[in-house]
Amino acid sequence: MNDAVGIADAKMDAVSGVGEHVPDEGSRDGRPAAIELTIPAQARFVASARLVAAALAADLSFSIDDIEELRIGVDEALTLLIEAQPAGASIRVVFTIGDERPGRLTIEGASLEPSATPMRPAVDALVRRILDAVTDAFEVHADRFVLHKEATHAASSK
Amino acid sequence: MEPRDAMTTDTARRVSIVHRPDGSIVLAGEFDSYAADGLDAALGRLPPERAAAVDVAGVTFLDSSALRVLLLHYDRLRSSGGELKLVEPSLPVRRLLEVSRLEELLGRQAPRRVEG
Repeated sequence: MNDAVGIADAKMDAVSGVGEHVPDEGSRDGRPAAIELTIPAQARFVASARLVAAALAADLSFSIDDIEELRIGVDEALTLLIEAQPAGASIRVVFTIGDERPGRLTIEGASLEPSATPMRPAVDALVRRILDAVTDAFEVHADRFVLHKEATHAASSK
Repeated sequence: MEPRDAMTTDTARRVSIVHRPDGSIVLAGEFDSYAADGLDAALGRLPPERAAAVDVAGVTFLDSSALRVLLLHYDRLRSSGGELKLVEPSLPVRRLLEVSRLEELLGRQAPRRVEG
């Protein structure tokens, strides 16, 4: 896939209450919502994911510091996942707001080429230290990642 | 004729890198894995055995990829008797240095070693 096609294929679909990424339970302040972003597995598109994450976090009234931490967390996790993918792969990033609790943001990234054999992501000490500090919880696997972030002014599990 | 700034602007990578005649470098924009190679090339032009200030006031994003490049050249310059110091750190720079526990890059003491 070339870059121009990649950009054209990048899509953002807002869905509410449906789809495998959206949990069944609702939140007190409304139903959970998921925003999907599909990008070529290339470093140049990580900025798009940071942008979406920051916009959603601002919508959830995250503080400036929390938004900054979320941008870092999304960048680090997505960069790891991209580096582990074969050339030509794509990644779907799903941002779910309000799952389990209002004000909580869950971000999942997954390779769209499950048949490919990705390398094991190299979560070294520096990246682990950063992800530990800027997220409430995170998992990074060869073909997917999940991270959770909640505004610090809300009840936090951390 | 006054020496001029040498400026590199890469809009695709959302960064600009300015080499000042006094040897300092001014960075602006988003420095992530996509911009790390360009940063490496720019810092590679810093002569050893000199103290270099890297102005990061205009850096709107910094991640571990770019931070590794800064650490690499920090070590390179120190090993040859020079110095690299980040000055005027923006909020994103300060935040990443804090969570990485590498505030020493702001010029107080040698950074802790991070394996990997």
